[in-house]
Amino acid sequence: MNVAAKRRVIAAGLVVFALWPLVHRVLVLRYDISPWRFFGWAMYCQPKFAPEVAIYVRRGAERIPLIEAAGEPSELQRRRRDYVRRREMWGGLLAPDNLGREALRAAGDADVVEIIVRRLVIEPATSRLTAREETYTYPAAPPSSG
Amino acid sequence: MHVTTRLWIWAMRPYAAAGASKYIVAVAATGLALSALRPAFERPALTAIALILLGKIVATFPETSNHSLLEFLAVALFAFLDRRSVEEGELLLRACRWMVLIVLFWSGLQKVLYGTYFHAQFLGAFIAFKSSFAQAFGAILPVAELARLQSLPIRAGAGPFAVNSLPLVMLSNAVYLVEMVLPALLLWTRTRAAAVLAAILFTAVLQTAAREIFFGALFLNLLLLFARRGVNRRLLPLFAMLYLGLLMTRLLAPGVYFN
Repeated sequence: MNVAAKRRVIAAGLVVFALWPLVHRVLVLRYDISPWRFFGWAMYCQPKFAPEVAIYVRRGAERIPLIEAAGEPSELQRRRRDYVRRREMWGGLLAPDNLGREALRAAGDADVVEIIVRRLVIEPATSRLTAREETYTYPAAPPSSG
Repeated sequence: MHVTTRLWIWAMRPYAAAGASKYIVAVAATGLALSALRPAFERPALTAIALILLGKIVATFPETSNHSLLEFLAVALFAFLDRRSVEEGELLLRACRWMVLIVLFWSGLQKVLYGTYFHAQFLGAFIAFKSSFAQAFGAILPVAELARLQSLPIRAGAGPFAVNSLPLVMLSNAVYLVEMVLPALLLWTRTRAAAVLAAILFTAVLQTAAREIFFGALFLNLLLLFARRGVNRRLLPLFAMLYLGLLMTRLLAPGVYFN
């Protein structure tokens, strides 16, 4: 490769390198990905707190934490810990679908499993920690007829 | 030296997913780095090291630090361009300098966009939750304000983390201002020498406070590319001592945190 071609490659690379943080900012705003990850140079802009992942079971009108409804099998605990770790980075790009399926299986006769993900951020206007919350609902499959 | 030290320290960390293969990576990178000292092997060895770093980024993505990308790009540039050719050497220097300018500017702009530095909210939160920040910045805070921050819990509604201390608020605002203004001053030949000194001082203080020693060392090396030619080479013994010190610290005092 001659010098002119190398110059073009490097110029293109630098343009991408310079514009990526803008895309990163959009991804943080839209999907709540971690400001500390994905090469956006936004470390030290928000504290890095692991999200809280709460699992609830609905049976009719009753809504109780999974741990009270069915305990929490060790496999599910492991999956929840793993999800918390990955969710901190991927934000809303990573829905807890596998965890939802596993929770439905563990809950047995639940109508619906609800997974609530809460993450703390500093709200600049109030300077206080605010919880950003997202709820995922997993209805049990209807019993097959016949 | 930077890459191999960091790989050895990475290898020494407990990290179940990689196991003993981390040591193989560290040994391979060390061998390649040593062979890169011979001009004939320099670029092939650097290419192999760049591939190792890329592999590590891919394998650990997205846990990979921003630092790792900068490290990879710096090595990749040295592998891609032949610094013995005057034209390519100049291109290499300019590419590395532009990376520094982009990283500095965006680090500052991101702080503005997130809005957590105007009233020192971010620093307040880190002083509250991280002992290293409390140690680094506690001295410029009134005792009562430090105690207030450290009593704040980690839960929704906790706060305010805005700091009631003019010196810390000024420092907080200075961080993004310096990060955004320095690139312009580094670009302009007449202000470059003073800007390099300011940037070195700024990076050393900030990265030490954050215990981001490796990122600090890498960034100092890259900043020195704005100084007169050969400064990096003259400072090589100092950097060698730093990296040796980091390695010894990890070996002898594994509980001491730095990154």
